[in-house]
Amino acid sequence: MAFLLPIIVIWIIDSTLKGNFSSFDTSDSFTRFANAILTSYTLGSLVLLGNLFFYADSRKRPLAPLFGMILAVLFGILATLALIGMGPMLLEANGSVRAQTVYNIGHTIVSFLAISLAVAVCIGSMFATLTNGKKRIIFQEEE
Amino acid sequence: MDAMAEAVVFFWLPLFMIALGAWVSLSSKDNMKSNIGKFISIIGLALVCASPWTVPSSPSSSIGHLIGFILGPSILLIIGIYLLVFSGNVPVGKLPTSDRKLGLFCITLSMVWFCLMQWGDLTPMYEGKEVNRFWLIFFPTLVLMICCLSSVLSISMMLIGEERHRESSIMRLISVMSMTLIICGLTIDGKNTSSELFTTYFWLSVSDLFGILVGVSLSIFIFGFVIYLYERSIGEPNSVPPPTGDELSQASEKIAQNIGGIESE
Repeated sequence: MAFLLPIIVIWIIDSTLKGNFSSFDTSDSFTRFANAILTSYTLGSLVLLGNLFFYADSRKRPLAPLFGMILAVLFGILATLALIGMGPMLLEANGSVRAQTVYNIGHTIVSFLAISLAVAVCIGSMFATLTNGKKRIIFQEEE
Repeated sequence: MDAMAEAVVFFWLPLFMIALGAWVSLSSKDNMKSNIGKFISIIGLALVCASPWTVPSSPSSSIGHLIGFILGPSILLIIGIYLLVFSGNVPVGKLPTSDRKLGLFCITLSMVWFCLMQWGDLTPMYEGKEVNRFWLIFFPTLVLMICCLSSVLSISMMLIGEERHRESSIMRLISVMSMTLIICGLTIDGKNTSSELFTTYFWLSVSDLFGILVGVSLSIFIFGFVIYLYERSIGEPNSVPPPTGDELSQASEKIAQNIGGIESE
């Protein structure tokens, strides 16, 4: 709820200032939402597939989970290509499936950079407020 | 070389090098391998930033163009936060208290820099003609994420922490400040970007953010499920036989060597 609250407040302020309730295109928003899900799922699975090598180090390198994650990645790639290829539903001003797929990857990388920087700013600010406050006594010394 | 092969060699391969280098650097315990990984990442980053010159025909090179533009303020922001965190009451690696002002200065300067990129003359203009479309994605996502995350942290500190009203207020202030930036973007035209364009990209970034959250959560769920299935299939581990007399005496020798020390007065 705390995550959604600022967005709702911005939406109310934007609607009040502009005098209409929908300054965003629902069709474009849905297309972006669907593309973001498909791309982030595929890229996320790919990163986690790489992560399995760390897991495998402590488990005598089993093949079963590796195979499972490869299947998950393949499913993501095939679903992306099939859904984009179905027609103009998921194409955002891009003429072909290849162009849209490359654009999706680029878009996700840029969004990931922005999210990472924002996380660094917020977590860093939180630690800065915690460390710059008055020094607290956590435990009372035993008498 | 055709346009696609050029894009693969001069942009996507260096981009892959960044990820590969980071992976090698993080996964290896050996210092040499770790340094090689860092080196590969730095070379990849330099090549990605140079992509507007090496492969100007590819639309993907505008990502390299954007990274080149945001590198300065982002590094300044991270240095500022580092100085601010470690100039406070930290048990290790404490910096002088005077660094707090320097940290605040770095953060303010980087935020002014980002604002000038949105509303002033410093906007990333791709090929000198039009605004880099990835900047239109980056800035709304950055301010939106700062706004939402600081709001979450503010509420969390109130609920979980004890007597954290001051800290919670500061996080709330950051959320309000970033919300003000968003409202400014939605209403005030910049030198190179209009408020209509920002509005369009802002609401798209909201959809994008939710899409990414759902997609990443789904991939983590699948990963957990795959691990769960495997762990369930291997069954219970075999019982270890009880220690022999020799093993017990060896263990007690080791314990005797490692306990003791100075008795407290």
